[in-house]
Amino acid sequence: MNLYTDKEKREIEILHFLKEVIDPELEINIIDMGLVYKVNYDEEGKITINLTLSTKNCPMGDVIINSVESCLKRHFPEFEIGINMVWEPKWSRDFLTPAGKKELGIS
Amino acid sequence: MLKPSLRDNFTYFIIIAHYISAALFFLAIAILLVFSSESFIGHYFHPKILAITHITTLGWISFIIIGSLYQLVPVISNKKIFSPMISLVTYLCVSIGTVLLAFSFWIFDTGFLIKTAAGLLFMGITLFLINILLTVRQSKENSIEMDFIQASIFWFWLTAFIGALLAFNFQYAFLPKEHLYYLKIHAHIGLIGWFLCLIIGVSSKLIPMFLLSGKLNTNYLSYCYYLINFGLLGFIIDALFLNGLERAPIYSIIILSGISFFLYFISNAFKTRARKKIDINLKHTYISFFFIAIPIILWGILKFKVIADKQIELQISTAIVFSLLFGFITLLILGQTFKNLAFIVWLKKYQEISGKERTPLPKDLYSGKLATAQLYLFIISYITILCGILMSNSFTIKFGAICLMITAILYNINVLKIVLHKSNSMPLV
Repeated sequence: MNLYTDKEKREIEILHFLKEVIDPELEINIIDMGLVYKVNYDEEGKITINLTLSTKNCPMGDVIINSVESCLKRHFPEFEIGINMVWEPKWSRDFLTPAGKKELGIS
Repeated sequence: MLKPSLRDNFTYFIIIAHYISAALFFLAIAILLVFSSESFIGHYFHPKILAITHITTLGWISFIIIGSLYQLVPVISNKKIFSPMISLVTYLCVSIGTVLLAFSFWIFDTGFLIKTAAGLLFMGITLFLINILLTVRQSKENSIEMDFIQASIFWFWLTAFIGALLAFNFQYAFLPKEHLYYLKIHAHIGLIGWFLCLIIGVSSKLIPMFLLSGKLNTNYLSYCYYLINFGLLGFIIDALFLNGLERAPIYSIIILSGISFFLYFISNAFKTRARKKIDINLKHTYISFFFIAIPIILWGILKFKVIADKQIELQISTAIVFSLLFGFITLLILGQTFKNLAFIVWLKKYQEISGKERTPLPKDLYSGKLATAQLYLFIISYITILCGILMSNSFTIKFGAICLMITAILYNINVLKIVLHKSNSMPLV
């Protein structure tokens, strides 16, 4: 039995690839930080990511955005990449994954 | 008009020039302290103390602050620095002015040299004020942090203005009250208005960001802003136009209550932080906030006449300024330099290739071991010098100054390591 559709499988794969993107200041990948709110894989050739930052004026913001774009371009060279910056809901520590919490030293 | 990329490069080199100059000034302070330890016994109005204090406040602390603001103000306001060329003129005026001022105090030349220095400093600081105000004016972003930064720069300008008047007053003696009276006002505006407001504005933005703090109530910062600024304004108006310094303790309590709101805000930032592991830079910051208690306690001892001895009172006055400039501000800077400078250089070298190639992290640009050694050595030197001042013991001060000199050497090595960093990215596999 197939639990996931092809589209969902691709989206899970994208989340996996995005673990390569590290916040250089915090040294945690953006998935474990909970910065990726939504991934949309469109078979017609577009990947859209809803991304947030831990704070609106985060000085590493541009670096993270560029890295997400480069990462996806590398794995999906034929796709158009769209990144939407979203500020609602505001990022909080509740969005950290268990692995992210462990990295930050939260027991 | 500079092209955008050239303009960014120009601003980058000006920021780096500020950090390098500040590091060298810090080393110079430590060396001068070694050779003038006996000057710290007796009245603080001493040529060598005046020289060292001005290198500390202008060459060391203000240079780091100005360099950091050229990077931070665009981040907060979302606008580039209005004129990098004005930044360069500011840098030249303030650096030459600081060296001339310190030299004229050291040899106590109150003639042409000190007036030239005061003129250069006043011009440089006025240009700095204009440059930042014109940058902020382009922005639509409003925040309490930006209010603190703008207020602090205005106080910086006023400090320089009164300082320039004092420099001319040495020769022409045109001020109605004695020189020391205005020196106290000059010092209070500089310490509280410029340094404290600026540190509050910058750290209330950066510390919660670095710590990934939870939701914080910024109303505390607003209370702090109004209490400190009204307290200081009241103190200045009263001192210059009304009753003199009689009511100074009342204004001090208003300002202290403002500071306590800020400390409460920062303690909440630490309590609600998601980042439990604190790196060496934040450890510097953490300890510096504890050290702020020392000048406050000393101030209480002085104001409430706990010890009624003129000589000890003078030593306590010197110790208050020393502990504010070193125990609190210098320690804060020593840690934050490696956060901010490493970040600035990292962005310059790797922003474009980040995500495309494997790059080092900002923390790889400096030696963590040296930064740790620097922290412990600094604490030893600070405590030792402070004890030496309070006990009127020049040998203890000299020993502390030697430790401070080693601290400054370690700091300079790490600063050079960051600014001379060569790109060493690798392809992603």
